Amino acid sequence: MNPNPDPEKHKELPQFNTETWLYEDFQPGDRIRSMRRTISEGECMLFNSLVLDCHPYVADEIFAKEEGVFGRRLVAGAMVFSYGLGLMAHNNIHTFSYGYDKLRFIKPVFIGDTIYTIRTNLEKRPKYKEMGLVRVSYEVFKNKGELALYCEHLQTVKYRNPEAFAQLVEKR
Amino acid sequence: MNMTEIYFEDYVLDAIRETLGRTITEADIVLHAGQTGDFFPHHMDAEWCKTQDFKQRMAHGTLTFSIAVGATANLVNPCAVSYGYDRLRFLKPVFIGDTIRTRVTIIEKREHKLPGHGLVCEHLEVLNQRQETVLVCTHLLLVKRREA
Repeated sequence: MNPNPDPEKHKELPQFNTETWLYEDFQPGDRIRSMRRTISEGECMLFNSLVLDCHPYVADEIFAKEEGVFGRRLVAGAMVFSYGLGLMAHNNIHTFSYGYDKLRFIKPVFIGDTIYTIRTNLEKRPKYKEMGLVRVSYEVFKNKGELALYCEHLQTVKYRNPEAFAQLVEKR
Repeated sequence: MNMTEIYFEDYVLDAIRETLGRTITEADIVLHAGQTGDFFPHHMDAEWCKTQDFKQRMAHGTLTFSIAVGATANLVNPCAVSYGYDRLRFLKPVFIGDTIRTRVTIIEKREHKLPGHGLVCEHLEVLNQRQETVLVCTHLLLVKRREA
């Protein structure tokens, strides 16, 4: 029983979990929300080991309980950043990550917290011959909606019609 | 790891420190993709990458950033907390087998509204084995003052 017997036709189907927008499609003001995900103890220690960062605030339960100001272990800031953005990974191969601005750790995230992300389209401008630059913000919320992290993401995005931007680009 | 109390007054402008090197492996990239859910083909699909200019899988920006910042935690200052990052830029891709290290330069000290604290700005440069800069950013630290 195979309802899709022709592999050549598989490529005609839209792909799950993959955005395909181009520069022209990007609308400032558009917003979207991610799934939620709970951050477990195991993955925190795995991440701390992965990046060789065993700061006592994230990796030392005794320090965190007896000396730290929060009374429990934190999720590393870089991990909240990576997970918060990962929740918004759109798999759009027309885009390329250019950099991040204004990354701020607003509230601590603890092991067991549940996070989600809201992405807001902020602005776009033509930049290169084939690609423009767009800016979005990510707000990472925890639990019932407390803002934990903010940052802005710059991405290059291909034009659908590069000729239309030929006179506008910064780098010709 | 070295735990040292460094107060706002103790930070010296232009002081530089450098971390150990860390080779980025295939396992790092696959693990990070699984952890974050970022399965962009740039990191996961070796065959698709062959069709692109860069030809091979590259590390996630968040992975390079996390490892580069993690490496700087060989020095732990209990007087400082991480406040945020500015102007993070990816200058060159990091590929499987590349070895990165981080150079940290103190570039600015500023006032902060929180009583008894100041902001210290560190410039982070991440270099590969060819001494090319692959990532830069400015790290803001909120640091206690000695007089507080």
